[in-house]
Amino acid sequence: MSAAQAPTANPFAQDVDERLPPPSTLVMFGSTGDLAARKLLPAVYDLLADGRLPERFRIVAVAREGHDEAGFRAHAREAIDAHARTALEPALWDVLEPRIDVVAGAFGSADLFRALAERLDAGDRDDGAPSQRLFYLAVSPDLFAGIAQALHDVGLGRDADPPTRLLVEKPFGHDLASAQELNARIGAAFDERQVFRIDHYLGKETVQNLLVFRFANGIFEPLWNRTAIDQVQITVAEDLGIGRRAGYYDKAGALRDVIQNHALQLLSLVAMEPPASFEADLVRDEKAKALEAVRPLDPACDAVRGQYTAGWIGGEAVPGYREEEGVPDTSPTETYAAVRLGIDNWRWAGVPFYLRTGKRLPLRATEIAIAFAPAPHQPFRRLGVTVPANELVISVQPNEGVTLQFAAKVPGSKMRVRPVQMDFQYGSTFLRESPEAYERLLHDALLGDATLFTRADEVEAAWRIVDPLLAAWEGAPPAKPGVGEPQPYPAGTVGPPGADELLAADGRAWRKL
Amino acid sequence: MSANPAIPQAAICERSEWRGEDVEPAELAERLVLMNREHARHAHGHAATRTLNLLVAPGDDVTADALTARLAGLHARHPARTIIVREHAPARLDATLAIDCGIGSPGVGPTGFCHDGAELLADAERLRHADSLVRPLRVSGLPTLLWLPGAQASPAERPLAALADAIVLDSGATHDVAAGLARAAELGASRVRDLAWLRLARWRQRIAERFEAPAERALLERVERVELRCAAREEAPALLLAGWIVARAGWTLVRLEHDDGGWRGSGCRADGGEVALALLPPSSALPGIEALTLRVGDGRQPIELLEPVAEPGAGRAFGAALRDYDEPAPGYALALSALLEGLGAR
Repeated sequence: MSAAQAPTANPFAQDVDERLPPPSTLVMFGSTGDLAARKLLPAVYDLLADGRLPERFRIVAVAREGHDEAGFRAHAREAIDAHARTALEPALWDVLEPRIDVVAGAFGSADLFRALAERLDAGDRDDGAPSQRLFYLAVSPDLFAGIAQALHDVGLGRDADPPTRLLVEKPFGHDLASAQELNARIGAAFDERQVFRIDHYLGKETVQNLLVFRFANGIFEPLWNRTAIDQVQITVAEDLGIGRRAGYYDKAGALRDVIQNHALQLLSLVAMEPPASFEADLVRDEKAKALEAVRPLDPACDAVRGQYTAGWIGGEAVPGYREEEGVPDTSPTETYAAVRLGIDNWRWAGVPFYLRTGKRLPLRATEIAIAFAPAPHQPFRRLGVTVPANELVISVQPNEGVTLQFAAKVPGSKMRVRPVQMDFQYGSTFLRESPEAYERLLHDALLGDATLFTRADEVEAAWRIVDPLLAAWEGAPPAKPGVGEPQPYPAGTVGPPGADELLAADGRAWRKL
Repeated sequence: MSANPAIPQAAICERSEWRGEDVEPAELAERLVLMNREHARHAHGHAATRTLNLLVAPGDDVTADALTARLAGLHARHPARTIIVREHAPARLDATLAIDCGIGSPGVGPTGFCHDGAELLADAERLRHADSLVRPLRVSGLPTLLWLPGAQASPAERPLAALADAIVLDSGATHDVAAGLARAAELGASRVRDLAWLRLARWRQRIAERFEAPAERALLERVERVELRCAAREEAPALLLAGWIVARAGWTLVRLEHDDGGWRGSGCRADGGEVALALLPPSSALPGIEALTLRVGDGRQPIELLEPVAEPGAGRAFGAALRDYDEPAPGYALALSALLEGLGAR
């Protein structure tokens, strides 16, 4: 058999559970930052320890002037030791260390990008074969477009050979107009298929399980609509304050930081129609359609914002938001946001989706609670028995799992009914630890699988939903509490009173945190 | 209740235990129900989670301590109803029933969980009907896995294999590699999760990666010699890897035999050309398969692959066997069949 007659398919590939990514170089912008230290470098190491990196794999850290290889390698080792899921093993580190290079310079300088291109070519020459290049932008969002263009200018953008990909961290724009502009500028340098926008929530095992839960379990499909579901609540609660992120957070606020991306991504997964198959664009088409069907928010009646004041969390006194380091004394930034959304389509007409997020709430919990409509007739009512609604709760963090709540009779001669729960917990059911979200996303990006990354149209659709609220909260004169200014809530409580009123107006209440 | 030192330190564990001599299986099933009910009454807040019935039939070459150590690690991560069946001399059935609970901790998560199980000691005659001992104790509706640790077969092996959805063993656990492979084949390759094979996951990945390019694949038809360098204890996985390469490359293994220096054999390519096969000692003290070399004709550079990073160890292979019990290990039956063909065992 000659080379021209080589087997058309790789005969060995069929017995491999998980394909290895092709030879790759990961170029990290912002390599000395917090995200790289806490998430990216540990994710690379965990993938290596799990045997999921290709044999030819390199890291090129792009850093500001003054950083050198020895210094960065020491920094990387320290970060991995502190944050990787897998314990640092000297033998594995010895494999990774020589594969880490540094290119230093100013991000605004064309020389830096020429040097980077030369370094990448030199790496390929050393290896005797080309590697795909992934550019990870863990930098300030105002640098995204400039870096993308500079990469394109040195032949590393659209139509690059070897192929390239651009990984972009949130926030992707600060409103609809800026997101559209950013998409356009990145689109001038990279094809949309090369752009991988990261929302790390999508890398979480439970979020992916939501798709399996919905589309692999036939029993739920007949119930997944306006007939059986009364309401959906999505909660992203944090007990922490803003830490050292005052500079970013005070400009962003809870609406931009969580609702526009994480919470709306969760909503899109709950609300989307079944895709024809689990392929990246088919899944993302359906998510985008769900977001497009969400009615834009009416700031006057669909939303509440709050800001935490001093209080107590876990037995510790904590300061109010305006007392946090770096926050202006008169900051109007919301640390809590709650919204009521409606989806204008056949499946969800009339079903409210309530989304809430907040800092300094009593606990850290991200969950999707689906409350089912009550049974059409309550035969126990004459006995004075109240039957609780069935509820399906998908916990995203910290305890990944699914709980189904249903009513059961309390043993005894009296007819008493109590809610009971059936629990599925990831940690105690499957042998394998869930990989970190960044590990999964990085691996997918290396494989070129964009399913768990947000597409430009999804990002814009999400901004379109929250844009009227941003305009009202930031531009309009105060009209009523909750619109013109955030309502205060003490740290350690469940949020401002307006949030309860938002649901009370519909005859509902938030699920207890 | 008492602390169980066999559970990893990260978990805070409680154990409820009951022992009985000369007992009946039906009595044991009832007692296990009572123990679980009693345990729930204490309201510890544990989620009772079971994902499978794990039957364990160790041979005489497996010590109780080694078995306990392996199961302790397993229980902390994967709760199952575990039923261990061992042989003893007295002509009666003795049993120990236990409920172990991991209470919320950094090691096991904040929820905590419980698992239960039984250790049955019986004479050889009873063990030849071990299915009848075990049936009343299984959790209905859950899959049943049979784990056969060690090289020697327990009298309970055959009857319990008949109950099992999948069987976990290590064909490399015996010095007689050919016998280990033949045992796997007799139990049914599609049901067997062979730890020797599962340890090769990264090797298979690496080989598939190497032959991704059509130009590399074309060289398969010019391979004249396949060499594997491995430690003596890794002969079974190395042979399975060789068998897999032979089968997937479309070759036939004609002969395979053991000699002083390792294993030698020959195969036949699709074009009729001969491929020599050799398992050689490693050049260093590495414990696993050190290198794979495919020597190609025409004076070309050989294709050489070194041991992949992060080849799964015994623990991870065991985890993979339990996790993926419901799918035949891809390529295993093919590799085993090719090897047995070469050994003249089929």
